[in-house]
Amino acid sequence: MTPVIETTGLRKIFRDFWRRPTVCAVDSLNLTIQPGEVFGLLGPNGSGKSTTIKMLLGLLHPTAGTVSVLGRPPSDIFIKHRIGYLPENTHLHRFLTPRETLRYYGSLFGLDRRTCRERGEALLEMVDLADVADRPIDGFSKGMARRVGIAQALINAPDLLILDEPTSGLDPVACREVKDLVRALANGGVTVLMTSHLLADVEHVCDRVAIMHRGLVQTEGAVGDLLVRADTTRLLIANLSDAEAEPLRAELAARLNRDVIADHPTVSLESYFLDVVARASGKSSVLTHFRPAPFLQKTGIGGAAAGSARRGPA
Amino acid sequence: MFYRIRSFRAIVRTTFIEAIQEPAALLVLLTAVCVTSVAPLFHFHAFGEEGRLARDGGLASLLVFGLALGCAAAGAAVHRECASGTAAAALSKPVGRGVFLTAKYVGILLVCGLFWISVTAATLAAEAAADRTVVVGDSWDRLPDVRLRQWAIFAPLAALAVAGLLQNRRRARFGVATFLLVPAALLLTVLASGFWSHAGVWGPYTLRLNLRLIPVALPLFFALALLAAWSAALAVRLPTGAVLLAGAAILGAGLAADTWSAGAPAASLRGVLAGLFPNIQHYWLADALARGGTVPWSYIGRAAALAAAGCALALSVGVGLFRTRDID
Repeated sequence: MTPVIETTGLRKIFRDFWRRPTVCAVDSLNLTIQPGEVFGLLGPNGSGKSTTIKMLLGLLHPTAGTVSVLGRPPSDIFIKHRIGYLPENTHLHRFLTPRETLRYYGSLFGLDRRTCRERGEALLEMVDLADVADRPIDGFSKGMARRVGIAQALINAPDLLILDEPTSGLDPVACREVKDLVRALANGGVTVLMTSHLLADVEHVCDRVAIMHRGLVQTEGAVGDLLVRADTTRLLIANLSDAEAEPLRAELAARLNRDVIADHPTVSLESYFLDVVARASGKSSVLTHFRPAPFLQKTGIGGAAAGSARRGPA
Repeated sequence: MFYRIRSFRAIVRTTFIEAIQEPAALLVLLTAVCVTSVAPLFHFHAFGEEGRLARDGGLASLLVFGLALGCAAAGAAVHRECASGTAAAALSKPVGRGVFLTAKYVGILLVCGLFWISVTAATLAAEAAADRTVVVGDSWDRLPDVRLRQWAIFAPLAALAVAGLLQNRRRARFGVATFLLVPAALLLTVLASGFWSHAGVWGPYTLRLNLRLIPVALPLFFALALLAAWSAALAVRLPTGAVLLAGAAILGAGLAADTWSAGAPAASLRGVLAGLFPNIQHYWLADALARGGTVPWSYIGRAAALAAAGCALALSVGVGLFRTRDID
C-alpha cells in the first residue's frame, strides 16, 4: 500500500538575512504514514512539529531530504485538492464572517457556488456556529475561531487531514467532540496527521505517534505498544469490596511470591468533567455536535459513536 | 481551468474587501476627493486659463494620493497576509504562488480603479464648476457653478451617510460601502450637472464636462498600476514601510527619468535602468490640455502597453521572489 506521507532524511535549517544558519528545526526525519491512520506528532515547543507540517504542505522548502504526500511532491498543487489543513494559530481573515470564510476557502478548492453553500451550511451546523454565521470573526473568542478553522479544513472533504494543535483554545466538551470527529473521519478512510501539546488527546485518538525533540524523532510506534507495561498485569474485578479484596491480594502475593497491589481504577478527568456538565444540564450527554457533516461520510460513517467503536476516547 | 478562475476570483474579492475596509484607505480617498473639490474655492492664480487650477490640482491629487494608496495597499495586502499566516492557509490549498500574488495585485488594481473614478469625477466637477466669464445683459462677470460645487462637496458626505445607514440597517461594512458609494455619488453628480447651465439655470440636458480630461487621467491610472505592481512584488520580501520607501524611490527616479536617462545608449547601465524604471513623465500629461489641447488615443494605447509590460515585469520579479520564500 502506498504511504500517504513519506519523508526520507528530511532536514530544515533556518537562516538569517545573511544566509547564516540559525537553527536546525528538523533533522533526519524519516516518517511513513499509511492510509486511514491517525498519526500523532508530539514534542515540546520548538521541537519541529509545525515546521514538519509546513514542509509537507510545501510552505517551507526543505534543506535536504525528500517528501512525498499522496504519492507526489508537495510542490504539486493538485494534491492539495485532497488535503485539509488546520494551522496552529487559526489564520483567518478577521473581517470575514464564518459563512464568507467557508465560501472563500471552498472557492480556493474550485468548488462551485452551490457546493460551497451546501458544504458551508453543513459544516457550520457541525461546529455549532450556524447562529453566528453572519458575524465577523473579529469578535469571536479563540475557541469559536478554532471551530471556523476546523470547518475550513474539511470544506474539500479531504483524504488527508493535517491538524496542528486542533484542540488549542477549545473547552473540554469541544475537545472531546473534535477527538470523536477525528476518529470518525479516520474510520471513514481519512488519514489524519495531528500535533498536540495535550498528550491525553493524542493518546485517545492516535494509532501511532512519534515524539520529536530538537528536530529529531526520539521514538515512534503504535500508542498501545509504547504505553503498555508488558512486565505488569492488572486484574479487574467488578463489585469487589476492600474486605473481599484483601485476602485475595494476600493469597496471590503468597502464591506468586511477588508484590501485589489492589487499588480502584479511576476514570479520566475528561470523562468525569463531561459527566458533571451533563448532569448539571439535565441531559444524558452534552456531546451533541461535531458529528461529521453528511458530505464527509465517504464510506458510510455513522457518526461520532460509530467512530469511537474502533478506538474510542476513554 | 474553472477551479483556477474561482480561486483567483476569491482571492481578488477578499483582497479588494480587505483593502477598502481599511480606515486609512478610506481616509486617503476622502482626502483626495475633498482636496480636489475644495481647492478651487481658494483663488490664488488662474494659470492663464479658466478651470486650469481645478484641473491640474485634481490630476495632482490623483497622482500623489493614488500612489500613496496603491503602494501602501499593495504592500500591506501582500506582506500582512504573509505575516499573519492567512497566506500560509491559502497556499496550503490548491493555489499556486504566482496565482496568489497576481490575484492580490488585481484586487489592489480594483481599489486603484475605484479611486481613479472618484478623483477623476471630482476633477471633472471641480473644473466644470470653476469660475467662468458669464455675460449678463450688457456686462460680464466671473462666476462659479455654485450648485455643482455644492453638490460635489455634498456627494461624499451623502455617501458616508448612506453607508452609515446601510451598516445600521443591513450590517454592511461601513468602509466597503463608503468606498463603493463615493465614486457612484460623484459620477451621478457630474452627470447630473448637464441639467443646468453654468449660471445655474435649469434647462435641457447638455453635457458640460471637459471630456478631454479622461485621456489625461487614464495614464495616471497606468502609473498607479505600475507602482502598485512593484509594491506588491517587493512586499513578498519587505515590510510595508520598506515597500513605501522603495515606492517613493521608484517614483522619484521615474519623475527624473528624462534627466538621468537622456541620451543613454540602450546597451549601457543607464540605458538598462531607463528601460526598467517606469518613466513617470510618460504618464503626466496635464500640460497637454492647455489652451484646448488634446492627447491622441493612440498615445494612450501605447502608454497602456508600456504600463502592462512594466506590470508584467514587476509581477514576474515578485513571483520569482515569492517562489523561493518560506511561508511561516
